[in-house]
Amino acid sequence: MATPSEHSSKALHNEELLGVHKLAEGKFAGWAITVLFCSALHWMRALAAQEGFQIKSYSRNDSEKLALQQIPLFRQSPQPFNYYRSLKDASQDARYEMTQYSSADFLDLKQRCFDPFKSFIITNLRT
Amino acid sequence: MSTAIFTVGETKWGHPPDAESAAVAENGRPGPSLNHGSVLPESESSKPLAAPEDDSIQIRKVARASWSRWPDETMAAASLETIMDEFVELVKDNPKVWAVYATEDPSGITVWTYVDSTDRNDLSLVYEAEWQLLNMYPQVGFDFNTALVPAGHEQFDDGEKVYLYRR
Repeated sequence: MATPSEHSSKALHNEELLGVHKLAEGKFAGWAITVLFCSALHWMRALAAQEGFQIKSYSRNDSEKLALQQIPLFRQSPQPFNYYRSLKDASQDARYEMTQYSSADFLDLKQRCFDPFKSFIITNLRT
Repeated sequence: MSTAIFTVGETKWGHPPDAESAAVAENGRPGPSLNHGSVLPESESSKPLAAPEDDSIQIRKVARASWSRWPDETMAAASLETIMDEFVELVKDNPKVWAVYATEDPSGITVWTYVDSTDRNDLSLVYEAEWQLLNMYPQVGFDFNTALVPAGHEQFDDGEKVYLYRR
């Protein structure tokens, strides 16, 4: 099982990709949103690892969905769940549907969902 | 970002490409299945198939459900119908939600909420309803999904353990 620190590093690694390639600034804003979600996923997994919730797969059992359901911190307020679901849906929409995402969409999602989600996680990480 | 409009018969229903591939790889045939084989992080359930349908206002097909996620856990007493009725109560005042489709299997309940909007405010109401359901039934394994598509005359998959609400 990866440690919270390893998941945090992976999340930051994903975020770095956005900066290095300026992915959100051009026609690949949809992929930038996908990278943003992948980063959020690892922030969530960092908290899950801290709370002793092992995510073994991305199917339903032992999945990140169950982590969101089972970890008490996520049950105290709907906002973190809301942020995560927004990022996930946008990521899926960007990949599978014909929706065109712009840099403005990316920035809006980052500021309204990713940043507060990451902040929530970091606030609750003990390491 | 905007909702794409498709005419009847052109609606892009179906499975994401990797979900379809995973279904073929795992089952030897294409068709609805959970996407366990995606190279991307999410598990993404396949959307119900769709086809033209007559104008029924609301259809509900329910089978009794009594199960738990883990064998040693107290069996969940609530039925699929009870659980999903509560979810529909939470989302039905959102005019952008035009259908809720749910199936159950031994690992839990998969929910598809059909929303004719990509506006985050509309979707947030759905996510909050999902979150409330998670808290109301912590012993139930939920797999929540949204389909961001315009309302149409789609026909949902039939099955023994299916719940369907249509506006």
